Amino acid sequence: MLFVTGFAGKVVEQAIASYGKAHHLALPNIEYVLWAIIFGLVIANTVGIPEAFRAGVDTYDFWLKTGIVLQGARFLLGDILKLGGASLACVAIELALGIVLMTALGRSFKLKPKLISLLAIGSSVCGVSAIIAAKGAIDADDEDSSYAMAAILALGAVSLFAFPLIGRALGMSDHAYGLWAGLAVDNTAEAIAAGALYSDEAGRFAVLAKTARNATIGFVVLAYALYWIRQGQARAVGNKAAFLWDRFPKFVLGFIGVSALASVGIFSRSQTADIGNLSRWAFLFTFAGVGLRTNFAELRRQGWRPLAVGVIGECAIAIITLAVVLAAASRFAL
Amino acid sequence: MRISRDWWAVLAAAALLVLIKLGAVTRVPW
Repeated sequence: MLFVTGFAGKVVEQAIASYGKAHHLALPNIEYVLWAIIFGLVIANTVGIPEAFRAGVDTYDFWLKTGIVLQGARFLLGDILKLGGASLACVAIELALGIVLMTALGRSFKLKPKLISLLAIGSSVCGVSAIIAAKGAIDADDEDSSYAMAAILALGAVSLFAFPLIGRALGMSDHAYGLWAGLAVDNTAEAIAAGALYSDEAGRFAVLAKTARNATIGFVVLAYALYWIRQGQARAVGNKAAFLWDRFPKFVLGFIGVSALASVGIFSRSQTADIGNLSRWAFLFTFAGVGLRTNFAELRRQGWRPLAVGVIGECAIAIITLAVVLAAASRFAL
Repeated sequence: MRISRDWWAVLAAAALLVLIKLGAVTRVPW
């Protein structure tokens, strides 16, 4: 189902482009990314996903992670280090900002304390996977975590449409826009889709910024777990190193490993192009999955307050990170 | 021992890289 939905998106993009070319029309170029997501949204929110296909659709994050590891071939370690300074500073600012802002907002909206923690972790680090990692660590209940996930996913869906428009309106470079998308969009799949919607190059930088955020997941979750243990409301953490390793996203190691192999020149130019195309196919399945697992009726059922906190917090984070990225872009010529 | 989805993704990517390096997979279309 992921393949059919994603491939349909690719076929429609190409069909529109060739129709425009044949008839000498300047049709807007709507990327396959958006078509795949729209087709997925339509299927999930009309006929629904048949039971037989659910397990297949749930593999979307496997394709996402495989795509990210393969993307490593398109980044030389030198590039990552060169990016490092400015981009990592932006990541650090975003993390602190996400936690402080979401905590303050959650308190003023009188949300439950653990829900506030989940929203703060989800918006600062990496959306759904961070919330799932944190749920067990701080003993949050299912309702709180589905609230937090719904808020993050709803905003991710909106950002897919809003971010490219804002980026174009501001005339952002691929690098600066990709960095912004990777910092401000919380869920990894949506962040990479938002980047890819702008350009291939922007998609690469979104992967890099988002991967850097993902790498911090263990530390942020550990800090929250220790806080809730002190409050006497979470199980004690035994070995901290084992806790960190357990929650560390291992595909980040794969990404760095492949990047190291590419840096020592192990792949020829044509092999790198092939690896890049394989990663595009993997992302195509991911983008179809983003649409297919977004259920508007479920999101509506979660109520308005967590969503309100999410909307206000995410908009503020998006605006401030945009300002930070624009400042970094003008200072470091990103 | 259960292998997490993260590791499966790394293994899948590694297998694809080996196939590409060996020349078993070439000219991947897009």
